[in-house]
Amino acid sequence: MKKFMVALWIFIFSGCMVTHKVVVPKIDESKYANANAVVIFDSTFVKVKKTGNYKRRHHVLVKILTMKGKADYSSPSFTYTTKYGKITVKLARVIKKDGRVVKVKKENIKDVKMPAFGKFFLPSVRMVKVTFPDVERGDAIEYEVIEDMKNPPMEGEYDDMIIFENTEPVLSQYYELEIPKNVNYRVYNDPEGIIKFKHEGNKYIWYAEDIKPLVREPMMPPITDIGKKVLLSTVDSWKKWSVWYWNLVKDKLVVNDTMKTTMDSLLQNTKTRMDTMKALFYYVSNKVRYVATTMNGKKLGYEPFPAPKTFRQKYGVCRDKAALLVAMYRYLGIDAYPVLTNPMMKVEKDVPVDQFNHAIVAVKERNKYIYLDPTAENIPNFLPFYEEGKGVLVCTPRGEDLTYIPVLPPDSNSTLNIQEIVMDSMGNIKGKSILKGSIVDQQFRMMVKKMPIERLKNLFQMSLQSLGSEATLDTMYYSDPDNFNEPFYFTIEYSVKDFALKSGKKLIFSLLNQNVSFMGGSPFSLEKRKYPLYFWVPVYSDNRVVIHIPQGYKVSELIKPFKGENDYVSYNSICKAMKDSIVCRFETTVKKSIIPPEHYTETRALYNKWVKTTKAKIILEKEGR
Amino acid sequence: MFFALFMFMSLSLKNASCLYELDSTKVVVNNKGQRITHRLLKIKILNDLGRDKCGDIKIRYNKESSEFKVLKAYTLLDNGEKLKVEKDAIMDVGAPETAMAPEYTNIQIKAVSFPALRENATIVYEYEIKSKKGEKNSPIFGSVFFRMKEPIKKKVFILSIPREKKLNFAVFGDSLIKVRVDTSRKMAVYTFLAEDVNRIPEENFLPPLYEIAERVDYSSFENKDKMAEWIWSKFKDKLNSSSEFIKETANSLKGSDDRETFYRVAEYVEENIRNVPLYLWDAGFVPHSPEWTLKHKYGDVRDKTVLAIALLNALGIKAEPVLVEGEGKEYRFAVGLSSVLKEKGKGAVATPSLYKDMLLKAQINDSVYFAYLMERFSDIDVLSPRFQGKEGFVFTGGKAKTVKIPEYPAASNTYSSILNGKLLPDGTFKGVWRIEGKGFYSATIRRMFRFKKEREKNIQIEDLVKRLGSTAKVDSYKLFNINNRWETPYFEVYVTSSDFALGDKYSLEFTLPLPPAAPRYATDKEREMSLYVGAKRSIKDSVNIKFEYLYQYTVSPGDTSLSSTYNAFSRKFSKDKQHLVCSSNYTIKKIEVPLNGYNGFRKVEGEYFNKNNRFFMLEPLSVRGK
Repeated sequence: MKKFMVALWIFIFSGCMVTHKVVVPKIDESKYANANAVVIFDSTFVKVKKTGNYKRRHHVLVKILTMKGKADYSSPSFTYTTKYGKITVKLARVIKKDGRVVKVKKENIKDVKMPAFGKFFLPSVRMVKVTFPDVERGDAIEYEVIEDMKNPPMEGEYDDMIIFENTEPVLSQYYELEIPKNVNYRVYNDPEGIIKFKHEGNKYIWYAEDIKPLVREPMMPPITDIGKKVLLSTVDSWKKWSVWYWNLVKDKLVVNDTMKTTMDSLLQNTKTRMDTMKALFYYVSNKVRYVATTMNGKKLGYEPFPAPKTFRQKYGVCRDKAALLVAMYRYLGIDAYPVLTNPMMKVEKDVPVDQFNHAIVAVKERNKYIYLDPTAENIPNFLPFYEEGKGVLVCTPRGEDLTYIPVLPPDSNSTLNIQEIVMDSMGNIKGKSILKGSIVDQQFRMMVKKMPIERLKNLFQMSLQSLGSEATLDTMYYSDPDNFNEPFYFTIEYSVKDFALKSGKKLIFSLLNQNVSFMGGSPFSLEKRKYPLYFWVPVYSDNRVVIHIPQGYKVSELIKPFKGENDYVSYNSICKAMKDSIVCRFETTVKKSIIPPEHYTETRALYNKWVKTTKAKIILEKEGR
Repeated sequence: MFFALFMFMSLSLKNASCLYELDSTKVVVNNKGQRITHRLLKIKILNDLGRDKCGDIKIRYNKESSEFKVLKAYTLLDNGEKLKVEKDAIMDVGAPETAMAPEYTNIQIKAVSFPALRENATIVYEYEIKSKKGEKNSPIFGSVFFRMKEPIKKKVFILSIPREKKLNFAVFGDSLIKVRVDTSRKMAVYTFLAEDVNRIPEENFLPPLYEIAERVDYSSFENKDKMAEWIWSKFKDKLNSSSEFIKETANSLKGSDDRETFYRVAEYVEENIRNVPLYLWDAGFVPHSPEWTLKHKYGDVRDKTVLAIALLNALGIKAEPVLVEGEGKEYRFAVGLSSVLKEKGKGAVATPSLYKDMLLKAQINDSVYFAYLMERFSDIDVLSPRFQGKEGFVFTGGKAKTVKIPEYPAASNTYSSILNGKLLPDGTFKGVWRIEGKGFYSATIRRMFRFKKEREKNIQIEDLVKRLGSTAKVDSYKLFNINNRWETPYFEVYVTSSDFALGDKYSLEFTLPLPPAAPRYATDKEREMSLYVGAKRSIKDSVNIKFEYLYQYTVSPGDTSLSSTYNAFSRKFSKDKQHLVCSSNYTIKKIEVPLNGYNGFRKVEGEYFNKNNRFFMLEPLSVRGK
């Protein structure tokens, strides 16, 4: 490895020379039989000025081993926002297997407007794309890209998050920061101590060698939560970020006469403060649609539009909707603030690094904050369940520390499925399923409002197919999705031919499908896991089934009761034979949102036992001759 | 054939999100060949979903060759209030494909986000796209759809061209589209009008949009030969190469016979030239030269086909490009000016916009061979179902010729599952599962494993064996022919599942699993449109289980055989005291199931999937050896 590293450094420092032949450090390809490419080095050099302006040079050399590696690496792209700076490609070349160098021509380096995606139209964002020509298996691609930041979000400061993981093996990753300020930093998720650190004068260096590739597992936490990473920042406290954002937003929090008139009409029938908060929340959440248009101000991407503008347009992104709601609340004397958060990943607290991608609202009530997300449409409560536990920074004139939204107990994130099934003597059934609970309330309201009704029917029709041949959705109906004062429920009625197997005097069937049909398959399909199993939040599911058995039949075999739990899950099921019916209840609880790999096997075993018990057949037998 | 469905129906807003009250487009092509498109849209928002679906209008245009002017853009509220779109809500952004291939295309999108949208608000949008300069002799062609996923009150398309330019047009769905042609002035005016057009329902597995939406195709090509001549002029200089580079590469690909050479060349281009994922004409009509593509090692479908032809020509095998029709693209569909269409029926006009993809074709001795060079997963000699049975257009030498792309029988697309093993008295199954994919199923198998890391492969396999029980454990597995595209890919998994059956000393009960790729289409009770299943195919399934004890069958299904015009299913059992053997075959015989055949298709499919047809209960007769 040492020899390799010497060769590598010679390569890096000779990288800028004009050469006709370059020798890529040799790697033992047999060591990487499963890799599509090997990142030979991935080096970043950042020089930061007192103003916070910086130049970041990113230099990468990748050896291509397969066609997939070629597809993944041979046309990298880099995005930048025009008001902050620019990205230029300093070097881009292919180093052929035999050492020949093919330089990327200017016409293969394009700087274009960011393509539209979904509801995002961002004319001030550009994309630089390099297309490497003549790349074959065994060749290497090399590029050096300079990011010139002339208007950093927070003047005079620098922060960054560096992930030391990749889906392909990395032989060397290097990050050098030259800065005339003290830097706080912390390394995460690196128990083996792969990431090394050096501090020389005003240079801070982090580097790692021989980084194993990360292979994604289903239902794993985001890579940013579990991958090796370094967070670094010159910002000395979260309070500074908090004040900084408050100052960006405060002038936008204004209310004009039209807004006042609308607020008056919205609040006509409200009695309590909570009624007021709800009325305005539902208005901003549901009447202002989500769409990203031209970004606003000098600090685009952070700075919201003035509240009256968002109010007029009835569209905006999270920061616009949050600022509008804060403005309305504050006008009415409700102590509201904008909040920075990230629903997709864990925001680490130790080092104040901007890890945010979303803005919501906080209202201070008796020295506690209530969080509200007006971007989430059609939710009865103020916050979608997936934001529980996420890091939040309330942005105030005096500044706040980073904190986390409390995680609610499992029964606060519940699914209740009440089923009634009538079986005839041929084994055919007519069923009715009423879905309720807070998860249903959030998700199904959204589906009903945002999905063409035919699609919704298709979805349920599809999910019924596992019950038996020619399973048919007879009807579906639901409560008023716009009435947030009442819990939402969703009902389907269905028929299934041959649900039970008729065999002589017996009717044989299983309830497993009723039990798991709305839960989206098994989270325990892998035998072992390297990474935790991630459920986002603790959840509870209660599935109650009543089966009216055909006249003249009695229950001959029934599902055995099951009760099992550990620190992470609990499973209960019980079935009772009544006079003309069978009554079953299946409860599952995920107590913690993360099941670590070391507890996965035992939890999986418990789950499998439960499945084995509940998939047992129920047998009815005709009485008499 | 579906047009009749919509006939005589008054405008229905059922399940609609927005209503196109007016969609009026006028295209003027002047004497110099300059093109001016003027469009006025009035869209009424019917509900919250409509606000999201119709509130932002994206129009594609070429910024280098044309100018886009927004003439009017405002929201009209139901109280009469007018709210203008602000400047920052009229945006120029890249088209989605520029993210993948900016060096190929610089198509822009003019996106406009309309303000204050709510139920009963109306979007009013008027714009003009003017080409910066015209080409006097450039052909005029295109297509316009008159049915979309939202209802239309009135749609007008007017094409105005110099009288001396001849225009052919074809109307698909003439009961809906009214036509008026006025050639009495200097500019001939062709008007196409449709009113009260109901929406296309949102059903699963719909036929391609071009088959179910009424449309007008128009073209200034007199006939197909003229079109062939024009396309040929773009390609002819690119198909042969005297370059040593091409010759050297070609020589390294020579096979033992011409067939092998054909596929070796195809494989080389598929595996070594990176795909630039653009639709056929997204980057214009002129392909890169074969030397360019070979040197750069990337290309779109035109470039890759041209390179393969040059390589084959260098080896003395005559090959040619074939244009093939394809499925519609949503964004163009919504715009109303589609370049992606299918040609059907008599009197159809000649327009390149009918074709979306390109195949490589060569006649070797008496056989014709085709290859699609963007493929990397299917067997080397397999064509994707989306091309099978389609009509191809050959333009070699500037002469038009149509060819029928072969349609493989169901047996060529076979997914086979063979499960062999023993079942222990406690319900544990121990055995081997072999799965093989032929025809387009070869791609299904390879996609699971090709270019995947060891752990990714393990995850695929672990997930798959869960069909044999939630505790199913992979003991080992072997993959075959995943990278070798000349042989049929398959894999064998050695598996132990302790809950394959529920078992104790008194009984064993289990349901035989279905093959993982068993296709389920007929989920709807009723349909409004025919069911489109894409390809004929056959799913073969065989299970051979040996019991540890001797058993008698207390519950067991009988043999089944069911058939409709469109699918068929048979399952046979051989049951004895110590063995259970099951073999089944499910065949989809046609790629499209019309409404009158749907119930029959659904019944057969339902029986194939019916778990009761695969359920067994056994009681031990005695313990072996005792």
